[in-house]
Amino acid sequence: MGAAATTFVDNVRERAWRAFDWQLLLYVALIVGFGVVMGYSASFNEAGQSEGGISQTVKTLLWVGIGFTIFFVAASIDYHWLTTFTAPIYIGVLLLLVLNLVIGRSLNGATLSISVAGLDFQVSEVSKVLMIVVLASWLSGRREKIGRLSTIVGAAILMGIPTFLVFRQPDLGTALVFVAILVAMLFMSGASIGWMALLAGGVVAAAPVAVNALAAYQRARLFCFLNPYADPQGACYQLVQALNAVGSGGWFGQGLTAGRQNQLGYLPVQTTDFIFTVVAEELGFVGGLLMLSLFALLLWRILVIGWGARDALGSMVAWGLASMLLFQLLVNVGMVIGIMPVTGIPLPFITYGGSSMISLLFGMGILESVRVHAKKQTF
Amino acid sequence: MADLNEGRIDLPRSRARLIAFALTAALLFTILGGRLFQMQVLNGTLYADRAVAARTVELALKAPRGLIFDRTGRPIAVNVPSWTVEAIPADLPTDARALGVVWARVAASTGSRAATLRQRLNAFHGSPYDQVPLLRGITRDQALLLSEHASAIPGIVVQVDPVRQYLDEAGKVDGSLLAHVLGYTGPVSQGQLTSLAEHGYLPDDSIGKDGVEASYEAILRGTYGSQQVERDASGRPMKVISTTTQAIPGRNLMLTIDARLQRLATDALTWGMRAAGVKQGVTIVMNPQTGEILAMVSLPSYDDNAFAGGISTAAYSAYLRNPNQPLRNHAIADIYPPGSTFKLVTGTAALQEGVTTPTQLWPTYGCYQIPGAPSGQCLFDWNRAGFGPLNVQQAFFRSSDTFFYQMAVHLGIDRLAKWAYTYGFGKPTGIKLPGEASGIIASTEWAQSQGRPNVFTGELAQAGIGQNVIAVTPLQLANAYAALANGGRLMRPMIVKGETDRSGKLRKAYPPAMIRKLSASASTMQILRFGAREVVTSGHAFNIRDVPLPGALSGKTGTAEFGTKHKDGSLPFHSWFVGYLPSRPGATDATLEVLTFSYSATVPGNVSTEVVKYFFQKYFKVQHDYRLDPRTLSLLGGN
Repeated sequence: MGAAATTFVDNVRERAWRAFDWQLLLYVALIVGFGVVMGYSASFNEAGQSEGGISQTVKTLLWVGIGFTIFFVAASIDYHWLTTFTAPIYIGVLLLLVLNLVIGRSLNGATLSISVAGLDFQVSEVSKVLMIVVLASWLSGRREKIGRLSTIVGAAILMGIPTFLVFRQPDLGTALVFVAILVAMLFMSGASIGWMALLAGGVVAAAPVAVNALAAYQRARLFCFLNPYADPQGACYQLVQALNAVGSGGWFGQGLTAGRQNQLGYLPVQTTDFIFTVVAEELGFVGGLLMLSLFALLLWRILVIGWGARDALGSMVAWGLASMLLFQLLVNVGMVIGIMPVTGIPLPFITYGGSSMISLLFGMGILESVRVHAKKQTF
Repeated sequence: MADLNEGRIDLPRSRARLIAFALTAALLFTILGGRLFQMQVLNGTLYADRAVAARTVELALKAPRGLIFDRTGRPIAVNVPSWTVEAIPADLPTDARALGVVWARVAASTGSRAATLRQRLNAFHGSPYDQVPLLRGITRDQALLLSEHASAIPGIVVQVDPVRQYLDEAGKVDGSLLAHVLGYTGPVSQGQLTSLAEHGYLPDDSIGKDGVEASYEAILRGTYGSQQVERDASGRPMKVISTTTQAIPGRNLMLTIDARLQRLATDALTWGMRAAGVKQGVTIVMNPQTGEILAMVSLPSYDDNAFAGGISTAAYSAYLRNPNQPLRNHAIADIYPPGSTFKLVTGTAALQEGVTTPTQLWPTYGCYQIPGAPSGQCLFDWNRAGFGPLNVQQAFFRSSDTFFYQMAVHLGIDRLAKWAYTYGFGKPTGIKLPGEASGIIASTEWAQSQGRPNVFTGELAQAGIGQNVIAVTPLQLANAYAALANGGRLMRPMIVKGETDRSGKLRKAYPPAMIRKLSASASTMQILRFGAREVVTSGHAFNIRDVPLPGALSGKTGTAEFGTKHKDGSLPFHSWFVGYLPSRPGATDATLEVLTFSYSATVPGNVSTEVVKYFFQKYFKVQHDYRLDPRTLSLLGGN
């Protein structure tokens, strides 16, 4: 080993980067890479219904580049700056969601995005990560009051307003993600399990009311998963096609860009919400399991980072991001394998979309910052 | 690792809750993985089968249509590829400018107009995934050019389909030589489709619309097979998976027609029509022994290739507007008064019913006083001088009208009608061609169907010379004389000789069929055959006499003046000649018979005899031209 190389390594070690979590980056990068490949295959459609694999993949790569830049920027800054901006962030999120309701562009009947300079900006995607930061900041300041009912009520109000706004878009999926994040973060913060159980009971009791508030098409899709083959040509057509595609994958799948259901255009929104059907059809059980394993590794790594955080703020951000990823994975994969109702929830890192990619990588960047700054105190 | 809670200034961490979270996550991953294993590995084939079934459809595999040959094995109806420019509306650019570029490119490559293409697309109302035909019959080079630039013209496809091509005796593309015999194929109409769908016809299928193409549709079409085809989500077929049943090609036919004879007959008739100002003409050449039709010409003709390629509305309506009805096969679909040629029937009936003996002489007149009518109401003979006393054979070859008026009046309408039916008049001959007419044969029943007790005596007399209340198709007349020529067998006229292999070799011959043996006695028919011979030697067809022919040409002329008056007040002239060629006078061995009918001539006289003469000259390669100057035809007289 030459002297120059040793000097370089020493220089790196001199920096705060000595604690950099390469595993987190590796798992994220692997999942993102997996997603780029699957996105290419999903948009590479011989039936010629999408704009074409290359142009969409180029866009994705652009988003990935921007996302990783933000990842490194966020990683290099001490995450405590977030506490300073909690209130502006929260108000900003609320303003954006209200704005979205008023001027948002119509997409599949729901107003989901704001167009800024020609780029579709999906407010709900960004707001998920930002709300995790807001909630983490607020909960970590509760200290000895954490066990009180007021913690739960306060957090519920804090999260409830954006949840309601998102639900009105209507974006049922994101609203459910907000609720999942709220419940998981309260649980991990040390909030009273008794009160939570009581409130959860109330929510379950109110569920039929919520279901009635849904639009007819949402209700029909919601209940398809119970018996999809009862109406394979009607409301459940998309789900049935997805289930057939997943099952057709077998052990090793039909090969990349060779899934017949995918390539012949039978899969609904195959580059976004139903991307996992492409994974399952083209890469089979082995490919599906590979993807789940990568997510499992990432989750494990996030939990390790959260547990090793210097303070509650760092831990709470980790719990929030972990619960969000877990919930979205469960609902997204669950719906195309027929164990969850069909709701529009993206598969993290893999579903095509710039806002989602950038906000997720921003979140991962904060985690990296939590890791990098974890051990300062012990010196 | 030491207790991490140590030194923390805010919330404590709970190891129990972290474990609970991790276990929940582990459980969820297990559920997802387990369900995936169940769906993909355990039940994979079930879903795969469902997927295949949902995206696979059984599509028909079209069978190649049978070819048609003439009696010498020349191909006269074949299948050739035809290229059609089609648009798939869903795949066309939505942007108006980009769409304009597509139209401009297609127009430039095919030499058509962009506006026309756009118009045809706009006229289409259906699924945006349907293929809309914009331009049929583009050339092979244009098709290649378009295919090469497919990526620059999204939504435009070039479809290749087999279409019919009709050829002449020299193998050249010619849709008019045999148009009325062959007919043409065309797209199945919506109305037909409802009843044809159960026989396997498809919405974009084609079907024989006229002629042999229509009457032998079931044989020519073959049997469609079927194949499993994978469709995309919008229903477009993408890939053939397997062939369930093979298509059985249609069987090939050999016509009784000789395309060379058809050409000779067409040329002869065309000349005669032009010479005498004839508007419509028919020539039928047949073998009296078998009923085989060797040529069947109906003029004016039409181009059946124009129909096979998808005829334009303008061209079609031009055909419909033509007063001479080129789309109709005048040889079988239209009926005309047979005139003096009908004296065959009246003569046979008079001899058979005992109205006259062969040798009995009857007076003839310049004008025949109608019995029971006021004095002076008489029917003229074409020969206003009369012939003096005649027997039946003399009356036949001289074509005395007043002789046959008397025969008819003595027979009565129903005995005359009985013999007309015996000769095959009054109902279709049964030739396997669509659209054959029955004709009109007057009878008591016919008169009563018109609301009167019976025909008038004047009508009865005129029926005896084939006028007024008698109408026949040229084919019926040719077939009746065929029965005279062959010794009394009324054959069913044949248009298809049998089935062949792909190269035109006869594999299965259809046997000739006899409708009936005429009940007339041999001696009756012999008298009329001798009379028919004398028509040529010293009767109205004497102008053919000098042509050296390998046989004793015998036949009968007929003329009439009827229809719509010309501008100068004269009536159009119509003329018949039907002749057959036995080895010697009275023999029943003729294998060649020719009938020509000229409808609506501007010059009097029998132009049909000249047409038949010209045909024989060509057929027997007679060097000297015996044709008369058509302007002198009127000197021939007629009848």
